Amino acid sequence: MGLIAFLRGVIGVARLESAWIVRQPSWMIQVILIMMGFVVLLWAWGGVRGLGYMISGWMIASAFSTGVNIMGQIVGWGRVTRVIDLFIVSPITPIAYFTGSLLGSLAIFLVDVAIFTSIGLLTGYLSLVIYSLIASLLVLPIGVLLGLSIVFRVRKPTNISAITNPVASIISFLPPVLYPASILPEPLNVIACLAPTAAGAELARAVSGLGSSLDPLLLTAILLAWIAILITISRRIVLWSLE
Amino acid sequence: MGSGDAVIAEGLAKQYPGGVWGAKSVSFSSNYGELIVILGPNGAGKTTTINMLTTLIKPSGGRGLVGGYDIVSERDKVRRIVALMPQDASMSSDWTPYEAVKWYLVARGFSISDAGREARVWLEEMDLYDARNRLGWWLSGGQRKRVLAAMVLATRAPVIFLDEPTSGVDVEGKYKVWSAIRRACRDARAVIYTTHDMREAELVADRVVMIGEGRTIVIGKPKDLVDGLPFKYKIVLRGKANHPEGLVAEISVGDITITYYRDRSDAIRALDSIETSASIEPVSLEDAYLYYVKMRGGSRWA
Repeated sequence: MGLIAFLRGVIGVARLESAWIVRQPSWMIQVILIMMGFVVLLWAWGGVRGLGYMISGWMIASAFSTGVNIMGQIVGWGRVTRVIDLFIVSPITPIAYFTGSLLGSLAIFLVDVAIFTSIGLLTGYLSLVIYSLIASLLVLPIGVLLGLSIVFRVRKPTNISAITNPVASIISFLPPVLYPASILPEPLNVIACLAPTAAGAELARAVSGLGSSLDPLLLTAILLAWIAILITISRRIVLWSLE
Repeated sequence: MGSGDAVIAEGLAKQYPGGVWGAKSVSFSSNYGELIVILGPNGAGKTTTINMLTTLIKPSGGRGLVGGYDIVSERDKVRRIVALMPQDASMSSDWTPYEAVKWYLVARGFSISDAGREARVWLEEMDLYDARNRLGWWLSGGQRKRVLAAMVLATRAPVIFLDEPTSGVDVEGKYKVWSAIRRACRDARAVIYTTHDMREAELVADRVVMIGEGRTIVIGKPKDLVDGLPFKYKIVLRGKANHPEGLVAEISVGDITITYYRDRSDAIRALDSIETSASIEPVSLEDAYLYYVKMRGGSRWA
């Protein structure tokens, strides 16, 4: 498949998959309201430093859950409506399809980025926003690959979101994502950072100077290991057919 | 493309997990420019056959070639030359007809300008051009189905599979879909089409492949299948027939009984002996279907 055909595949899918975001903008109000609530909560508890944890944690959690949930929703809904069959029975490759699906849905994550950039400018945490964004670029594919690994194992497509939503929530909020790993006792703080979201958030905090008890190299290695493992798993699990 | 067999199915079989057979032995071939209708009752194996030929599922037995490519070992090559309208597929309510067709074509490799042009042509063909910018929310079920048909027919794929494309479409809409499919055939594309609507099959098919219980039962032109029946006329009546003279065959469906006769004079004589209201009709593809799929070899012959 040539590069132009690949790019057209990505653009076509992205344009179709972004339609719901454009046509149902009320989702944005929900995202903003929840986020503003957390901003007030973290500021009240931890002051400006608390907001620093919020910026790094929320951006990483958002990237991860966008990856997991978007794959769950797009594949699940595509299987329910059978529209995914139109793409399977076509020259479109699965990589082009999933890349297009992700790009088409990335607005959800970009809203978070826009808001946190504003908060970063106000609080002097702009470098933290930038490092969190870079760490998000490692966490996002982990979310996508984990989402794909789950959705293709679920036989009944209507059950997909019931599995991906709690997985995304638990991995986003339970480990030290919105709070520092350093408050956990040894060796629990290291074990907790095996979660990709915790590793990503701690990495952003370590590199930006907000502080982390773990070595950035170790955190990067954890994220790269997740990517390698999930690529291997998803290559076996993702079947570009009905079986 | 353009000559030779577009599709060859030889004894295609599919056993699903759990041991259920979706198809046991389906065989037929189709040429470019030809419209083949796969006809059969619910559960006969029509969709399973389409799914195997479009590489969505792997056959458990037999062989299939599409455009000369093997459906198992050359799956990616098959996918480059086919397009499928799946049964019961539903376009997103957030899409307009124009963007659905246009961006699907771009995804399949069309340039944006070509895709826009083709979208306009095929939406006009489907009588949807005036509704091209209307969101899916505001389209009827039949219109949404026609949008999907436009998406698939606009692809220029040499081999098109349409799995019950007109179910839920009103009469006028059906004629639009058939007309568009005929256009695709004139462009030397092969169309494989499933339905259980006999009238539809009789109207649109170049050839019909009747399948039942997962097996090919008979293949032929609609007229040849009807002409080949051992009867020419039928009487449809409510209740039971009293086995009049000249009766060749009889089938009961619920409280309806259909009796068949070799010629019109036998049917007229039979009609005289029937007390309820009934009329004589020439046999059609529906009767060929009942004969080949339901009755032949059965115990209902007079």
